Amino acid sequence: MPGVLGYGTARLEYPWGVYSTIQAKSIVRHPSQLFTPFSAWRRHIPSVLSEVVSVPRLEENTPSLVAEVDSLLEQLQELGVRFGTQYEGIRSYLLRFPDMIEVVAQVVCTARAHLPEAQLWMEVYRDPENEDEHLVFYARFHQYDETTIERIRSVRKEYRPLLVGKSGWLILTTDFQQPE
Amino acid sequence: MDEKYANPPVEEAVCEFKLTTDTPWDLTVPGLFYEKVRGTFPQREQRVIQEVELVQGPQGLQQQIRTSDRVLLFTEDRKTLVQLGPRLLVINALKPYPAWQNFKSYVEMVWRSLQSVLEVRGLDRIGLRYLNRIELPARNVELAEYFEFYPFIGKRLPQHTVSFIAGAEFSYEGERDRCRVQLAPIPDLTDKSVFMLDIDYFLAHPRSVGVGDALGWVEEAHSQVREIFEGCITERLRATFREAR
Repeated sequence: MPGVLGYGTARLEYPWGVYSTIQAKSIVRHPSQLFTPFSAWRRHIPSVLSEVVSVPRLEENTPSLVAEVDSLLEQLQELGVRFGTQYEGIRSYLLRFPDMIEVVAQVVCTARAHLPEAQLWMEVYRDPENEDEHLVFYARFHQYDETTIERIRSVRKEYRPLLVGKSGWLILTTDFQQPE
Repeated sequence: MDEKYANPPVEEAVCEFKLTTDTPWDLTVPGLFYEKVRGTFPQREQRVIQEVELVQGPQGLQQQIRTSDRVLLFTEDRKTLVQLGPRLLVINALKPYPAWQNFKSYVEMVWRSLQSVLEVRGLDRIGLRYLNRIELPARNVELAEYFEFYPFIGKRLPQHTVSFIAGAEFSYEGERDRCRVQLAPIPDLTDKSVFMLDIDYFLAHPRSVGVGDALGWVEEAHSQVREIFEGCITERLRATFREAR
């Protein structure tokens, strides 16, 4: 019997899953696989994030949004994205607006490519004057100069088309804070 | 897991129907389907899903990436949604769990609606999955006090674990169905221990259930899932689900 466990803030590794004995010649992976290192959003950006693409598993899971969002957030953490105290809020937002899952993955991918030295902080911004809320990525740099805003704008220009027709919204900006 | 609990731990219930490739499908299907269900699922959105397909070729397993559009239809409160993609129908119910009778009525309604706009010729897969988020009010817990499904750790191994994942796949109905059960802790910043108990019951062999029997399969699957859930937890944990909050 396992002894006393302490899981409060432990970071999970999700080291393995249960391999099925599926013998099919063609196996389509569903966009959600809980506790697997090969999550849905990685499949959207395999060329840019090739260093994190793992060996796929030969199994299917019934497609869960919760599993998909958890998998996305886990991968973002692995890539250094910080959530502060807003993990649950971000999770809830993505469950409410699941069409933002691909957008978030792509924005992080694009930001990593264009702003490799930046640390990304992710939050849910709630407008105090109305019920509007959206996601915010703050890019934090050790040094800021006159090109910083322009570089952030160039990332925005790339991801903006992805937001057309989406139910949610996000913005990449900076709060001129230092990275942790 | 079920309506008998005042605080069911279900964070999401999912039901999936994957149609066989000989089922005719064209771009008009989502629009026709939406007209049937818009009274219950009025909010319409769209996702572009990319999937990795592993194909057995002469060179061995080869990876192919393909994209498909998926229509998402939400109830007014956005707690229940239907995902419709090429030969794929998924119903997701998020917390708070609407109870089996209500979830089942959604499943029946959307399945029949799809059949009314499409000739479903077969089912490659049906799945019924429950993700249960179980919160215990202490950072350090003895798993055996709350679970009947957890990893066995031998005496020669360190007894203090910081993480684990326990999984098993069970066979039902003479190998026709499988149920994959996983238990793992999930990170939490508060003074709680949080675990995800994931129960995924699915049809393991394509076409082994007829189209007309699909809803009956779902009902049976739910009974099995309920049994498995009850089998995974102790009375002590069960009692916490009965308490009104």
